[in-house]
Amino acid sequence: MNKLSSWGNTSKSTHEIHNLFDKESSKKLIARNMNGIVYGMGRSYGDVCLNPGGIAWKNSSLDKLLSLDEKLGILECESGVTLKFLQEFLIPKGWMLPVSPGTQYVSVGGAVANDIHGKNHHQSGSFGTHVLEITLLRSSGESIICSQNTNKDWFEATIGGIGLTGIIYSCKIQLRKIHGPWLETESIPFHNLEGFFELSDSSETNWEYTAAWIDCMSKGDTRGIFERGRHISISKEFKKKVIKFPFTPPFSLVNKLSLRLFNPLYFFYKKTFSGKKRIQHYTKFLHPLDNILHWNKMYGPRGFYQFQCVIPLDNRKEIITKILRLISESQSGSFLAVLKTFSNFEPEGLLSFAEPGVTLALDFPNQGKKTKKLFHDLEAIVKSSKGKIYLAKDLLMTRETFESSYPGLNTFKKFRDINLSSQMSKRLMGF
Amino acid sequence: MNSQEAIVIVGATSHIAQHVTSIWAQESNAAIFLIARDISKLHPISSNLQILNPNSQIICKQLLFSDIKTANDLITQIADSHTISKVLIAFGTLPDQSICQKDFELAQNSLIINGVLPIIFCEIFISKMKDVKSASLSIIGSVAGDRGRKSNYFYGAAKGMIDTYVQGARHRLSKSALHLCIIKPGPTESPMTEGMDNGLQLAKPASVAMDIVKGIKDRKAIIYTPTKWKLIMMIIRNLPEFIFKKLNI
Repeated sequence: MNKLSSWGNTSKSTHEIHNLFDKESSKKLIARNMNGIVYGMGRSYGDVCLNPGGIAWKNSSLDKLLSLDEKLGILECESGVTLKFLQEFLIPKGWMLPVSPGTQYVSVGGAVANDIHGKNHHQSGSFGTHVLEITLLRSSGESIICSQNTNKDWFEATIGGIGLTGIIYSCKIQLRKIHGPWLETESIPFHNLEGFFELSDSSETNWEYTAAWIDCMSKGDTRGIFERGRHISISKEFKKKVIKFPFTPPFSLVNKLSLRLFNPLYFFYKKTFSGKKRIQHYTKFLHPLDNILHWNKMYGPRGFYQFQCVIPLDNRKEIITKILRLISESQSGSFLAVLKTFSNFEPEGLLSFAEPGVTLALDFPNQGKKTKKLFHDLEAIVKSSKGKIYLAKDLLMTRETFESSYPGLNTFKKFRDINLSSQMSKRLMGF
Repeated sequence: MNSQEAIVIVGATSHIAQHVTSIWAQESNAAIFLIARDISKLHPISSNLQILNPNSQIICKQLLFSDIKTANDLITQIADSHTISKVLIAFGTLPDQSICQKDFELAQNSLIINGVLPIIFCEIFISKMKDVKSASLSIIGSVAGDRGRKSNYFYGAAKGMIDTYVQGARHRLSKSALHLCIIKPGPTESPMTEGMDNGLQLAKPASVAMDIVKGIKDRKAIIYTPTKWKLIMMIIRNLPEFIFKKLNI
């Protein structure tokens, strides 16, 4: 028995850990009819990857590349391979993963199970959009190969299916062609939400990557920095600098005081880049936090929660204003606050998160009841606006809100493997 | 002397061996011979290596390790057609100590598979490689071989046998260009340690492999990995018997 936690670090719970080493041994493990869930890189924030008191199957040893068609850009790999490894391996060959989230420390299986998205959702959709085929291992002993053409219903249930349809053994992914790892980027300050939406809407066609940092402490109008980037063909040397957050401080370094100091400083620092085009390595632009290993420790021993919702396009400004006002009044939140519009792409899977609308993601240091009350109030706004909360980040959503905001749920339930469950599935689906 | 370089991995499904091979595959275009008891398990491993380096040739061979005659023939065949530059002998099993104390056949098999056979393989390779310049021959021992403990002394005795053998062989090869080293990993995440719950943090095979590759490059005679085990084992080896006997390790 060993302790596992998710990225939010709000608790460490005991699990019986087994490693998945290859296809055959994984089949045998899952067929033991013991209740478990696959644990990948542990980068989801809430309880989607946890199964306290039960079994966690770690997929990090399923780390092999199974095939690569360098002409067509089609890669097949086992599910424990990380996006970081793939990017570093593929980019020199002129290919890249078409979608990657804020961190590269994610396994392919986790990327599929949570149907992750990135800063290019408006042009490329979510990770599932580019998955061609999945090999799923079921506790019944079956192996199901599913795709858009074969076993389509299984495919749609597994993409974004939070790991509950079976063990994802391998995936075939369509890669995207690139000229190199460099991006042309711009940082543009905005002083209210209208400013954000104008920038976002006008950047959709010509900028592959867009997202905005917002100052969650701003009173009245929301200010922030809109960042956009696109690939550029240039050859440059890159020196990777990675530092490690050294220890867990006894209290959260993210608090009212540090936010009041940091947010204005960050805004004015970023403002100095306004009007300038910069050339940035993809890791710096797309995965800035990966340069600080274990950054989640800065929230102290109590950890943190992340709130991420998507609000439909109608009334987007009113609802986001309402949410931001509530957060600003709570004097809580963190430096890490991101606003981004999704468009064009409907959800890939039955429980996929990304859909046309605007998404807001914010970290909150765990302040116990106060944070839970805030999340409860935020959830109510999301629910009444017909939005939804991202399962990969969630730890607090009620079953009622989940059921009303994920219309594919009833169909999804038919594809669940009865021997797979997580803390999240017990909380939101009853088992 | 044959011009095509070859790397030979005996026990190629071992997780440590897989990671070492991945690194070596990316470092050169040498032909890589993967030898394992069950060839079907080698398919994803060989696909992975082929993708990591499309220019290298991956050859999978099935072998019953106890069949020394076939083993000798196979290694001779490889040495006749290639210059063997790197070898890693990585096969082994971790038997249940308490069962070994009752099931003497299991105890015997464990001593053979973990100690006798790796030594014989090593000796066969020495006979083929002793004159190959900058070649390296590595064999996986264990920290368990440094001092016998009640929890795993059958496994430890076999690994200790390898240690003594390597000391002697290295003595014999002191004037040879062949580098012979023993790798002593601490408990590492692998099917062998699956279900082991002794409170020890298991090392990641990828980082163990990096230590091994670096140690071989630096031509170290003994590679402890993770390196902390060098200090831990120095202490354990030197503990007076009356203290050692009281420890529950």
